Amino acid sequence: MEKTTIYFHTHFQIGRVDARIFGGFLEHMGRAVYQGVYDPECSHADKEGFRTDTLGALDRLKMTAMRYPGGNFASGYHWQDGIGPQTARPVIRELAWQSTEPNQIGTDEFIRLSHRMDWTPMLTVNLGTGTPEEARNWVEYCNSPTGTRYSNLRAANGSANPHEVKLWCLGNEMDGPWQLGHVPADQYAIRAQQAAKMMKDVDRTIELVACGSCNITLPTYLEWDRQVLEYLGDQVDYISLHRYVGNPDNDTPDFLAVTNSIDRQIEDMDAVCRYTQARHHRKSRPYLCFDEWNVWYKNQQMDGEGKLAPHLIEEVYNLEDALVVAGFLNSFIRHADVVKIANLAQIVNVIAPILTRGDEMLIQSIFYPFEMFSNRRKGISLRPELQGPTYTSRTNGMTPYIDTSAILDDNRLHVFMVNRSLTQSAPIEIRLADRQILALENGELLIGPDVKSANSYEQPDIVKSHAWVEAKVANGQAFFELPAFSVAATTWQLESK
Amino acid sequence: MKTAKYILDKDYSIGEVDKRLFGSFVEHLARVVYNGLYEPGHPLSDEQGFRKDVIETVRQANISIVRYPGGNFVSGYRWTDGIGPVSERKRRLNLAWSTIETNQIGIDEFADWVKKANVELMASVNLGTGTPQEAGEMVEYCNHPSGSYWSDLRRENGHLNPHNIKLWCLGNEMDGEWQIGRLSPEDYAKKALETAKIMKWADPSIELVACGSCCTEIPTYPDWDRIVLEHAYEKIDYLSLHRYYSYDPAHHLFYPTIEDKSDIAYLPVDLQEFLHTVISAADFVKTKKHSNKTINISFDEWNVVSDSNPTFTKIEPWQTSFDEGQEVFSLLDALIYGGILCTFIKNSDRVKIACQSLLLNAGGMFYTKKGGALVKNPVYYPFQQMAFYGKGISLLDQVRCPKIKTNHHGEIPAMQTASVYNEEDGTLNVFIVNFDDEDDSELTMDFRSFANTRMVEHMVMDGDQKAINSFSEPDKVKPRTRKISKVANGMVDVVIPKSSWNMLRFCTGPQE
Repeated sequence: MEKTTIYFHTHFQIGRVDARIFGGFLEHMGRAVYQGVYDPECSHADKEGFRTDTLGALDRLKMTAMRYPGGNFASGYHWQDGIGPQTARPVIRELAWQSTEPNQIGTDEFIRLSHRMDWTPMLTVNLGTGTPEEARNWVEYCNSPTGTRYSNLRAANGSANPHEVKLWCLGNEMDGPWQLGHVPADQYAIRAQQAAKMMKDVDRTIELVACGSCNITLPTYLEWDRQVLEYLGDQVDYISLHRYVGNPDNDTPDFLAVTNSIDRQIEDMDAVCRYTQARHHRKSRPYLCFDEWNVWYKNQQMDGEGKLAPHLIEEVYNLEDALVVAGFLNSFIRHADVVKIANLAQIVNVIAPILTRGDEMLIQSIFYPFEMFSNRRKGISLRPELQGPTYTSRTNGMTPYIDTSAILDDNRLHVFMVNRSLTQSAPIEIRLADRQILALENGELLIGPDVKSANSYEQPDIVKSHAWVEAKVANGQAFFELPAFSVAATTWQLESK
Repeated sequence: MKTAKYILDKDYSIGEVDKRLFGSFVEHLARVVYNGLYEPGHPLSDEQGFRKDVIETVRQANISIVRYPGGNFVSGYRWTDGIGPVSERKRRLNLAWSTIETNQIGIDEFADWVKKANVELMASVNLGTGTPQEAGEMVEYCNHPSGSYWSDLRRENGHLNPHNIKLWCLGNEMDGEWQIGRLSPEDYAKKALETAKIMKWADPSIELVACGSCCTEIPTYPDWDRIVLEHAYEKIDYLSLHRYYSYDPAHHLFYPTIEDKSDIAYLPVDLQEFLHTVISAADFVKTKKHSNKTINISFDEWNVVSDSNPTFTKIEPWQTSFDEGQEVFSLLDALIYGGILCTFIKNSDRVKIACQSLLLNAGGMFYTKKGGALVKNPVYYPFQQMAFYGKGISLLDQVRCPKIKTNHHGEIPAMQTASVYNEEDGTLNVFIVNFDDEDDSELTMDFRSFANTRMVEHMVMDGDQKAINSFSEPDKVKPRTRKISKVANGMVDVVIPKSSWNMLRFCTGPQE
């Protein structure tokens, strides 16, 4: 392959990377909560019933914003079902996933888990079957100092101090016809505005996320967002985007080029934000909250058949999926000026980097790019100027073989790269206009025997990251050969300014 | 002296500068046409009555394209009034400007003028009182070779070859309540779409500009832009925007753009926000319609409103021409011109056409005396320099500069900048306006990503912000050359005087 040059100038910046783009999502769905993070029966369970093995693996991902309790589940969830003595909680016929919800995990357990994991809790209120008042009551339960009805209830349930939940989602995917309580954009906007006002009346310091388009193929795509933002633009701080991608046609080069379409999805939503801001002469604008994203297309089991903790969408991830996950993260970093929050959907069992089977746990391929990026996330996103070979994908246009993003952290530069070529290693040169590269401090490479290689309980280490420092540094520039079909996360030492 | 920093990198570019950014506008209004570019009997006029000093100045200014014949005028104009034997042409009420239109100049005469002036013609059709059919017939008249009623009529009228007008405006400011035949956005969009179909059937090679918002103060902004695009997206190529900047709330056209003079440095920022909003609307519609086509911007009327704008002069209605009336711009106006043009260059990926309004006398970059001389306003110079030296790729620049405290828009960077790099010959030209009226700045320029950079020229126009050029002192305000500084290791320090317009020219690459 011809050489690719990745060029930076430390004064040509995109913006500071918000740590919250390394968020996750825990929904009451399938075996995400029950048997995923919580399983009192499991030999790894601690005294609260949380699984120390899955939580230990999640610790490595250093996730930040954690969205909870849904998802579609949230649109039928009444938060008061999940508080108080566990034995007294109702068992619910759950409609979104046709499951049985025992409510053994609720707000207080989730907050305790968040503290323990150092997650920033991000709660989704029910704007499907719930009322704006119920949403407002939940904020009071979580955030008000004791002395009022719901804050006293929290104290009675064991938490005298407020939970300090700063991030709240105004419903979930309300533009989707599958959603409990789905309504047209203008009706959602009114409902969300009512909830937003009361929630902020309870606690001025919270930040709110409005439902944006959850699927770029819906007929309401972007028109939904315009209507919602025109109506409640200055009452919300973020608008949400969701995206699930797949390779159903088994066209790997095209699948890897889907990053182009993710870039465009972000840029289109940014355009709507700017347009509606000007339309209503607002001083501030909402930013983007990409609060569900992942590869998901192989497993379509979404009917729980009335069971408790059924096996739902337990996607098995292979190497190409991991490359696409890295592409999502590159895209978020390249749009650090507008994307402030992003949540990998999800964290255990349900379309997740981790699977469990009884007492066993399996780390999947997509775990690694997230870990490799998350460990190098502090700093300012730089504008990459990339020159190198490209290919034409079937549906996603012209695509460079190398996909990249970079973060400058004082005298360190983190560079992330995906080599999309199925067969060829890529000669790469990295240089900066105004700083010298001194050395490769550390690097990790995700690679596997085949694009479809996946880890299994029998062979858990087929696809994994390896320490990787095979670079030459000369005259302040770095040269190396990036293996075919791999993801690299590298940290370079720069000369001090 | 304050300090500032300017960093360029040849690998960070915005887009190729379209030469049509340096356009102007001729409307049948005040002294633009009659007793302006057309003045039979003037010693310098040619056999058609066109002033040769005006034509020469247009050529010197490097004006690329001229929009014609309006403006508000076009929304009541029958283009057929302006063709055929001049002596038989009708005298009409020009309702837009309360004058008598004698129709001595029409599309054929103006097509002759643009050839003499070496500019491209951008024609507007009447979507106020006009019909889609009339617009289609005008395209046929101008562009069809021969063998049809309208093309043969053009030949009979003396033009055997087609005018080949490639760029057409679908009406003018149709969102303005002052417009003859104003329409709602939906009604305009439908009419524009049907007109566009007919015009493109008549000549598929033409490009069309639909009316966008004519200012940001209008209540339909930016719904208008979105709605027009939602209806007409696939048939149009550009969306038109207009903006007139006034800094004196007592002297403004239609609307005040800023609250007081402290806010002047905000004007280019306002322009940037206007562009960003409308481009966002265009991109929103693009995705909503699942289109692969990108709509770009034709900013086909822009200017600064000076204290001497002839629109403020009370005039007697129904005159055929005026002996007096011209706009006199100051150095401050020239700085704002520089700021506006820098903003266009910095948006060269999406702004493809821009027309300074109007060409002469009324808002003109120069003005004439009936029977007498021609004077270049200070605003002529930044335009002329950027039009000549702004050829190439617009580069993304990083500027750290002093801020100006405004009364209503917070702190605004004192400098507006743009830079254009020509890869072929290695020339690199940087344009800088300094709105700071208190201190000079020492600017450290970092060109380390370019090889072997040498400074060629530093032109400056500065001094008293109120200074003007007049018939008695026509060259009082014009650029002067400053001492060249030496570039060492890709870095150079230059002094950017207070209240100044600057053009800094460099050579990069191999030493000749």
